Amino acid sequence: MKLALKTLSRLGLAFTIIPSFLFLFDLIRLETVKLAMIAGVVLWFATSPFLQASAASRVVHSENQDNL
Amino acid sequence: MPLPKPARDSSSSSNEYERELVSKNSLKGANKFWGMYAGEHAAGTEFMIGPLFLLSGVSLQNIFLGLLFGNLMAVLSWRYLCAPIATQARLTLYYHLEKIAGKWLVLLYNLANGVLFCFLAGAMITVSATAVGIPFNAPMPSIEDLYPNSISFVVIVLAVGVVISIVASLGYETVAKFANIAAPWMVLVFLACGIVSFKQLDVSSWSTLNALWTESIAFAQEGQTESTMGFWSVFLFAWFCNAAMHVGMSDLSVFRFAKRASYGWATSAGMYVGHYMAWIAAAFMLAAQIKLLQDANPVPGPMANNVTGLAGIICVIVAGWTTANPTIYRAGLAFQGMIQTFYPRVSRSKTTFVAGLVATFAGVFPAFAWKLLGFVGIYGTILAPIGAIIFCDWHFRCKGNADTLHRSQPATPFNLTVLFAWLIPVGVALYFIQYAGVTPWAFPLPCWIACGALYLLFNRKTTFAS
Repeated sequence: MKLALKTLSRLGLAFTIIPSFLFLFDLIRLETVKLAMIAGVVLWFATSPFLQASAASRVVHSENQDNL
Repeated sequence: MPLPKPARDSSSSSNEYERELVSKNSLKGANKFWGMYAGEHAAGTEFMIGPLFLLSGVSLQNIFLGLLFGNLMAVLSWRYLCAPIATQARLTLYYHLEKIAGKWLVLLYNLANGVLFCFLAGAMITVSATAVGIPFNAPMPSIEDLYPNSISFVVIVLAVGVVISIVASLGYETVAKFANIAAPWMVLVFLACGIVSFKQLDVSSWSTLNALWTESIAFAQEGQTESTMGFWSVFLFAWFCNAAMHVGMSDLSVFRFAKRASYGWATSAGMYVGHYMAWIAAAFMLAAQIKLLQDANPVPGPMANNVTGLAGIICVIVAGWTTANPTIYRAGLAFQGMIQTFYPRVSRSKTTFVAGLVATFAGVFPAFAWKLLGFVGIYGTILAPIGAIIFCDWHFRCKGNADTLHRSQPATPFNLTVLFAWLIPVGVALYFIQYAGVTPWAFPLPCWIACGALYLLFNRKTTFAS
């Protein structure tokens, strides 16, 4: 299960960044980039919360986040 | 005086050691810091800062080189000024400052922090609102609009601001976790925005990119190509936009969890991802918008929509929200600290909600977003000098000895020498910014040096005698 979630979340990140490179090299159209990136949003936010839920908060000091 | 005891708890992530030493087994590994800084600096305001460089007429060369070296100085400031003190003293900025300046002066510093945070959060709410307004076809304010330009924009800002305020007042944990989840994705969306807009610029060499950039500046400035920011301005801005955090020592609170001062290098992830790649990507987005749509309005929502569609809109909303939220939370804590002096039972959630409403009110005025470069300079000018007091106290009075600091107590609850050492240079700087029109980001360094020198001068007997 964890492996599947991990694979899907990585796929989400891949769908977020790879289409822009394909667009850069004239391999796909901008509309396809936008659609693929929506798939990336869905995959990433549907899977990564479960992967990070068990891990302790990564914020070292939660009140002191940078703001810029 | 007894030493503050290291905390016993090693497992609880909720123990933040506000008034105690961080225990050895609560120290974090380097990876935590690299991850935290990389994600933390991909914030909503990055969508504003890059385009504002273009509108200020900064040449491409000055952007690339100014940011390269300015960010390097920021990293070095974290590494060699802030992290070494943090990893030896292992106290929060507030507790550390309280030992030097007394609790009342810390409250004053906190108030300044809280008020500035509110306006910063206001700019972030504006950024989020520009994305939320897209589906509603709401007219967005233009760069000339210092006041809200339509009722629908005001309604959207109020709705976004109230939601953010309610969430912030309910607690911090959920949003902090969501921010951590979103961070890697947001960084990649920033990169994708940069790549797509670079392609849309349709340039094949540095010279054609440069020519197109100059044309974009001329279009944005209605025929002029006058630059209000040169290399040194960009360099100083990049160095000091986080002045409160590094030379201002606010990140003592972060690096007290570091095993070694060398973890200070982790800030380079934040600087070169968030303050280099993301700023340049956002600047390219505006250049592409100018080229394709003949529109020089640096409104983040529509800009992101043009290059990456719905994912870009979501990124603008998430980036604005996840950074406005801790800002409002921090402001709420600052206000609570102040108000508790008079009303000890005031709750953090109430003060946070009020801070959120103040930020929302500020967010209604797009001027805070458009004037972000200047505001960030003022923010650093006011808050960073406090770091010079900590630096001088640590090296001259404590001689770099943590035990001396831990055993010390402030002479008074309101140290006037610290107050004057802080306010004299800041007052002079604010005068020059307001009445002589000098750029604000020129002042954090002189104010920091002057503040440290005045502190040593006022305390020469106690400091050097000890």
